[in-house]
Amino acid sequence: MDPKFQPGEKVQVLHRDQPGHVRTPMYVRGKTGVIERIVGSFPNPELLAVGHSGLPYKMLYRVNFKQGELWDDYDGASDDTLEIEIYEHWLAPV
Amino acid sequence: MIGHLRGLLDEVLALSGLDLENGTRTTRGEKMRGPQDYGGMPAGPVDPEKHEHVPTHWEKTVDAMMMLLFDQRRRLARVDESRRMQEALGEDYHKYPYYERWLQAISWLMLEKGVYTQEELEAKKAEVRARLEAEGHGS
Repeated sequence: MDPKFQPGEKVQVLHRDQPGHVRTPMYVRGKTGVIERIVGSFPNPELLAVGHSGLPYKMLYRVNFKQGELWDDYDGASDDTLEIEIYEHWLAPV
Repeated sequence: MIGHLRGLLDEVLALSGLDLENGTRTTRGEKMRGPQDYGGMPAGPVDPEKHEHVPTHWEKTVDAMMMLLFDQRRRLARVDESRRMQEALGEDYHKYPYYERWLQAISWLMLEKGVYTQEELEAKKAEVRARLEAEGHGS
């Protein structure tokens, strides 16, 4: 399975209201970040959570966000960042 | 400590616009936000004091049960399913201590999968309660 994104690429997290076990926290949805690394492919936890096999595998990425992008009132250093792991089906190219 | 957390939680709930009646958050249109996803919501100051906890015997028992039910050989459930059940606790998520959430999740999963029935669970609970009372541990 080929990763859709490569390190250094800009991505936007989809802003979806999706019920069930979802591993994309609300505070990153709709935000723009940069692929930091490709973590690998894993069974989809959203399907594992309902007793399925989790197939097809989903690519997982470490995504880097500027803190200022995440929090409107962020008053720390402008180069402060946050990294979080997000599955490919929650990411769109920018 | 629990009282302190309760106070914090009440503050979070009050500030968040969470509508507990409907289980939805009203201020930001984030209808699907579960109790596990409070990151970035208003809260009180962080208490930097360390809260070390030595696991009790019953907590270790819950851990062992989960290991056995979820292991490769039995695979009666997966940790992701346990998460789904814990998230389904909604508001109650924050009332249960960690291992009680696990225990509730395991129990719901075994019921969902038909490993045992509600009737069998109730019968077993009654049996254990009677035994504990006979031993003088009843409340």
